[in-house]
Amino acid sequence: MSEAASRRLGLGGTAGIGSLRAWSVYIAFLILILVDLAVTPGFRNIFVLRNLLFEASPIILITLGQSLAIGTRGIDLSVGSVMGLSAAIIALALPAGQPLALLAGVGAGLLVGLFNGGLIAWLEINPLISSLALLVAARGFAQALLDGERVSLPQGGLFDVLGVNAYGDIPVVAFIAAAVVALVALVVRATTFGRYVIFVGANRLAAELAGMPARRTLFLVYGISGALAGLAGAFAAARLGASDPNYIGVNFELDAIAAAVIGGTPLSGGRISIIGGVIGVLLLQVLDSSFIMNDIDFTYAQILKALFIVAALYLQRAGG
Amino acid sequence: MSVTTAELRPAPASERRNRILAIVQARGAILVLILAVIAASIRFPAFLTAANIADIVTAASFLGLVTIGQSFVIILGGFDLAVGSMIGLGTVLAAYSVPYGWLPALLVPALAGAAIGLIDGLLIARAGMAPFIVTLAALLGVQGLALTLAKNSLVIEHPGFFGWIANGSVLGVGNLIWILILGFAIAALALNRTRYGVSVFAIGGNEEAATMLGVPVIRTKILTYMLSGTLAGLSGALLGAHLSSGIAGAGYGYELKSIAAAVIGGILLTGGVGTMAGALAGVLLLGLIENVINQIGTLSSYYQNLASGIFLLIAVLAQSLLSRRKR
Repeated sequence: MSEAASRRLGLGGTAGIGSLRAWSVYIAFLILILVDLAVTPGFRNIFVLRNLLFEASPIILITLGQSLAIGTRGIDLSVGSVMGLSAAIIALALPAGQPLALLAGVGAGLLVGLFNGGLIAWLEINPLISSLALLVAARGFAQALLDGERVSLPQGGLFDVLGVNAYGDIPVVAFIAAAVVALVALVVRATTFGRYVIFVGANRLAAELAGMPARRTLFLVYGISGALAGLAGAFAAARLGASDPNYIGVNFELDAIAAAVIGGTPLSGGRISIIGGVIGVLLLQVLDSSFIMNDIDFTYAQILKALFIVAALYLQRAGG
Repeated sequence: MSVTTAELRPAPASERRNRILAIVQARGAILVLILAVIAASIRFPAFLTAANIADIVTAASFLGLVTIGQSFVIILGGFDLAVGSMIGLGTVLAAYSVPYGWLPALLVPALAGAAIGLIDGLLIARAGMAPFIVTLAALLGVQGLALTLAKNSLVIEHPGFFGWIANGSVLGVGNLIWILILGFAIAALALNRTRYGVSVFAIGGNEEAATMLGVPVIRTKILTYMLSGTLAGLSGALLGAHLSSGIAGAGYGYELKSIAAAVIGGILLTGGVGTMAGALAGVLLLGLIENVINQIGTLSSYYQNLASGIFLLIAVLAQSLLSRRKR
């Protein structure tokens, strides 16, 4: 009740504080970039940007799916493992040709996502648990498919397009990720489906009583998240030049959740900030590379990342 | 009004059915565990030997200790994602403390766990932040801390009595098995026979109502996260003693395994419902799956994850069907 009340207050009066909170991730990102430009040696080098975008693109994709899932008041823990599974399927489907192999990877992600969505929507299983089970199972499946071995991918063709090529210094994958971001942002803001996602997250019962197809919405949201994770797995495998079921996507779900939440998509559902999530991903990536480039142990970066997540959420909570 | 509701009560027959379903939900894991043991013994002659059973329980004891804390936190209506990293930090701190004796080697990890739990608890109970995100941050932070302290694994050269705690035996039964049994017995008593346990159930069942009834909500929450952290630290210390080493990544995946064990054991993620016997059955079931897959031999160990995941799904499906039938 208090939550609903504060949301109403937020919409009404306290615009000053409210907007400051909404902008906190952008401000933090800007400050970090300025500090890096001033302090970090070599940060101006254009290769930094290029590498950063290669690393960030797959995480941006899974953060989009994650934001949709969190927006419905759910969560998708399976995305990292689905990336690994997609990469494994791509390695196995190579004889069919690169385009079909990539399609098979994305398709596998979609299937896992729809299965997850089916469990959540119709069997009413807690998303945390169904996606946890899939996190464990999909990783095991990926490892079993490749017998735990790293399989090298051939060079050239589509794999080079995704893993190596760049226009200027912007990788192709970054363009694809940006296009998907624009598409998802449009869907959230301007389509009926986007409205359904937010209403289901804000108040599922009310959404159902109002005649919205809550189950179908959930089913599709997790399907989208799975397909995006499949694509992210293809990106990661192409970048690595190999399909490694023990490496690709491990712990990525944590980064995606952290980025989405820092970006302003609250775990309580009913609100989605797509652009905020993207900035959240970039923020965490830049934070990582700032530490590496300043020759500070990456383990400190991890501790600082944790403090940063807590601080960001504490600020979001203040007054809300 | 009250008269009408009394008249509208369900008939005794359906009440009995509900009671049976409730028992199946609470005790289902134990039932499945018994059936699984029987099936495994018939299929694999080497399964039901004292040595193999001792192996399963010993290997499950580390998960068992963290699952106690995890179960308390889930019954309270929260999560603790930090336990896996805390195990890693526990092994590392134990390795550093062993030169000062076995007591510091146990106490330092336990106290570190309590401290992390205190921070988590304060942020969750006092600042009202989501348990999921707070303990997720703790997972990252504690992992970073453990890696900072020990980039490579540390070898415990002369474990002495500390090593005996994890590897010795009393009355022919391994110490870790004793510790597991003792841990669950104390936990069951604390949950069912103390004011603290009542508070945990009350908060998980309905936090607002618990607050109004004067249950010390904030204190209970902080205590419970501290308990979970302490047990994870202790489990790490014992794992360090068992392996004679401190490894920052030793507890990888334990946060998810412990949640899975608790849920398989019939503890509802919505809070307010659960038993320690069920949680123990969940822990042993996961251990049994691992053991059976090793017995099959021809299956690569990678199928363990696949099997555990599918098993978790089946358990949760059964739970959701049971609770829906009851409605």
